[in-house]
Amino acid sequence: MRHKVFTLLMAFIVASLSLGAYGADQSPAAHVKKQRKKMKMDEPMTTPMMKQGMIKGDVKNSANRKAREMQPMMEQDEKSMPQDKTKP
Amino acid sequence: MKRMGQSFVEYRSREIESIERRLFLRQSLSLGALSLLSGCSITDQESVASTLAAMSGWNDRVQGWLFDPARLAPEYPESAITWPFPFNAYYGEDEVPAIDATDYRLELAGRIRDRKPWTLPELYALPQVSQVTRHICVEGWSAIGKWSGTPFRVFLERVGADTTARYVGFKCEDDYYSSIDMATALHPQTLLAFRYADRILPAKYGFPMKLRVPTKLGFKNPKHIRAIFVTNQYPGGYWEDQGYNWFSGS
Repeated sequence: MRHKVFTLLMAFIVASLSLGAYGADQSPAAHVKKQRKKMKMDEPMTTPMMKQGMIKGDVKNSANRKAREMQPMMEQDEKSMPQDKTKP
Repeated sequence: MKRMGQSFVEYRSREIESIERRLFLRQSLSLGALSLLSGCSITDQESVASTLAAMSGWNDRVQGWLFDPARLAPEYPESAITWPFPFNAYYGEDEVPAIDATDYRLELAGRIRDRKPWTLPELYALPQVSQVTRHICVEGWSAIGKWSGTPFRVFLERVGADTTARYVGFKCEDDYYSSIDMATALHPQTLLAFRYADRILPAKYGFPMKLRVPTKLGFKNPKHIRAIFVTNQYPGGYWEDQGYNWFSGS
């Protein structure tokens, strides 16, 4: 009986320690598994920084517009900075 | 007596002339200011916006000129850390982007010699330092936190970035974008942060990495970074393009 209690106690301690270690520093992939709500682009922003009428989708639209504007300049920058092929 | 009366009249007329001259000057200046104002109707949104943008640009140049790359932001003991550290974004905490760490690659572009994408294990293998500093938000609140990561200067040098270029830009997984000046990018306290409070950066604080810039306001600390580029062309930023001051730092 005493042996059974001891085994049960040890099993409990080992399980607790394993879970504790898991929780202490999860692998980066653990952050992916959580189900998150998809951003509702047509909703107003949630920050006091916004101007009246701003919606969450405005950021994506602005980012796309900026990327199109910057693309030719980026290409020019990259031409003047040839890629280092010697590194693996 | 007559002489005395005459000299008094002469004295008074000189005083009056002088007052009139001052009045004329003042009225001319007022008129000049009014004529300038009439050219800038405050109902004309575009002209107001362009005037304010020009002033903000001038402000950026002055702040850039005043910026001391050797002056450090205050650091605090761990006992001063704010618990819980506030979440802040243009969306709710439940809408934070979910990033797959195994597929994640940090892209590099622009004036960088080695533009190969970086995986997370490669980034985590870079030299790491920690700092306990104050995050100051433009909204009027501040909080102290502990961030760990690689000094951004080390990363820029490792990838062969042109550190004589003017700007470093960031594109984020949540579509946010921003940029900073090269002097700030090379500042010893500017970190590419991978950890918060000694744990892998939680999603709500910017997993897999954020730029921690204790010398600038919070909106200049982009989270969930997926691309970094170096350029001489002014890249702006989301809030900066809405009129917030670009430099926003000390």
